[in-house]
Amino acid sequence: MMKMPINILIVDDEKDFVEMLSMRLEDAGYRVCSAFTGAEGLESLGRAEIDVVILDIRMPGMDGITALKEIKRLYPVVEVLLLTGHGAIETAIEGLKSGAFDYLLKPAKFDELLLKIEEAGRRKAEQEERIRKIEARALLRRSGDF
Amino acid sequence: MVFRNRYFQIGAAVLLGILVFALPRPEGTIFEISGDPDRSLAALTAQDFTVVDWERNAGAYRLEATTIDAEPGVLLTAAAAELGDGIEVGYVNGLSPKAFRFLAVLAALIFLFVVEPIPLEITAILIGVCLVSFDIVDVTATWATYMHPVVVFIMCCLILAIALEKAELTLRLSHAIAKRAGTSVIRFTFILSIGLGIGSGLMHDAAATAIGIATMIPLMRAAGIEPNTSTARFMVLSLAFACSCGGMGTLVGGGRNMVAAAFLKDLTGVEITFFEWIKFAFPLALVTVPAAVLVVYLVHRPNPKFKLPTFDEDPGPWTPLQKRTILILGAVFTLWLTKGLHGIDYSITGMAGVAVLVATGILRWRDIHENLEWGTALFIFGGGICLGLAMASSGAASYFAYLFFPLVEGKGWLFLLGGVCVFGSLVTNAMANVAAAALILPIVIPLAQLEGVDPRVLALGLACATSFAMLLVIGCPPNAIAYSYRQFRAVDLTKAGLVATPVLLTLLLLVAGVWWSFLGLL
Repeated sequence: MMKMPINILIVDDEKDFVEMLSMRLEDAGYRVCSAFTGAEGLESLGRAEIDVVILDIRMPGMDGITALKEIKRLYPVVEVLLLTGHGAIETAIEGLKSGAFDYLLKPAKFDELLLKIEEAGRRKAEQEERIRKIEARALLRRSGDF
Repeated sequence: MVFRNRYFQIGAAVLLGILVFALPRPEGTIFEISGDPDRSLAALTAQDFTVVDWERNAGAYRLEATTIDAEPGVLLTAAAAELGDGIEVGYVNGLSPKAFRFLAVLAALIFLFVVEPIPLEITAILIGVCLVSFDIVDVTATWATYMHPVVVFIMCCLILAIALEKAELTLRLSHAIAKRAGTSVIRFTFILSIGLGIGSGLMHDAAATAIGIATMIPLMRAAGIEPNTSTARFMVLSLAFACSCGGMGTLVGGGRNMVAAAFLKDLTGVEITFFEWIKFAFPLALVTVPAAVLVVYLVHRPNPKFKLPTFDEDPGPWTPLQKRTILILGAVFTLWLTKGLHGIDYSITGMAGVAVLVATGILRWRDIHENLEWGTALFIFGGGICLGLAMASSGAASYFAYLFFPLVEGKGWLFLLGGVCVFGSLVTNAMANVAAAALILPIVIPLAQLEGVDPRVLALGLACATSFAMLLVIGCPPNAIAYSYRQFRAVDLTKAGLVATPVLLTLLLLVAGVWWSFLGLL
């Protein structure tokens, strides 16, 4: 089956970093949106179909963990990769417990990031396919036909 | 809310049945006597009945009540019982007590089928329970119809579909078409939908839809086509509608075809073979499939700015498993096609094919057990057939045929076929195809015979028209599968269906009129 293109949302207050990472991810074949605050990120999720969110833990205003919890509440199937600094491992662990897929230490190796994006995208696609099959089965039973 | 309460709905179904039963039963005055070549019953009841001039059925004759009696039919039935076995009294312009009980049961069951307070499978089982409990059909005959040869045929078609999917042959077909479909959204959609639509005549139309959409979705994603846009609606709905229409192409294209053919054979003795079905219906599929896609294009115009990436997935060389599978399925198909030569029933050759698939390791029992919708195949289809045959054997169908005949008398095949097709295509949105066929065919086949129309026309017409269940997402499996991908809202499907249904029905009647006349059916 043809590989499903993964749509990524980067949420980070460091504009240069976001711009650089977006360019590199787009060159690697992904569709990328960006947001500079947690609130903007939530708005972007409402507008476009996002598969994986790359979310900075430390942001002014709505911090990463709050944004993560809101994302998982509103879009439970979307996978979140946390970007964290060395001093925030405990926060990263809290994020994983709150539903993040994984975390990466900044500055993250690009290859490692790509690997985790693919894993997260695959998990989201599998979960969505599972949900879709159950919904389809329920509708098929209601049609009472084959 | 109380109306949504399951027990309330069940109670309403029972109440409906009771209300129907409480209505006055039309006793009628004309009765058809069969199994009495010496006309002994006529002689015994000469005081109260006269023989009516009527030549249609060899060996049968009709009596008309001449004295006023509250229940002449009951009197006649009792007199026939006195004379011994074999004499049957059929009501012509009335309903026998048995037929009346059947209608009361039917009213309750239809309510349960449409409103669904209990699973459809249980409603389907209740068909058998009620028919026996209310002394409409005997217990052996009732449960035997749940394993009617057509039910077994449907089950083996479903199992062969599982084998097709497991061997990824449906995927190969989809890839082969997608590779040649180009990058224009419109061209790609037309080619993939028409290709898989025609192909769905030979496979489970839901599987064809699922594989087609799974092929489309990554391309749509890569092109930036968002869900719930006109382009997404066009692409996904086209495929669903095309696969629905294509299902009419062969006998195995849909359960509705097999059920229609089975009712025709059981009610009239007339058989439409596998080959004949292709001859009569495949050209209709060839016309309605692209027409359906065109209608969706006109209703949900895609945005011309989108360009799909080139589809370059390579499924690789044919594996030994795939070669074995296609060989076995080809052999089964050939046996079905040549049934007219060897006479072996489809269910037998089909199940032999299933046994070979398992014996050669292509399928395991677990694959069948876990993927076969036992409830639908065994109970819903079996129950539907049981209901339809009881509709005929109880006499309820012939009473309705008698009632409706003045409406169609002298108006010819087009009026009758048109009415059946319109009614069938609407009803099938709300209830299972087999239930629609069970209700409609036992009535319209006698109507056709009375009007001098070949009953095959009605069976074929109904099966083809029930391919146009395009108004609701639960109308048919391709709609349900397509909807599960969340690329459109239910109202988008209804919008396209409101245009597609009359267009396709008109096209069906037009093409059927020309083609079936050419073949001598009309």
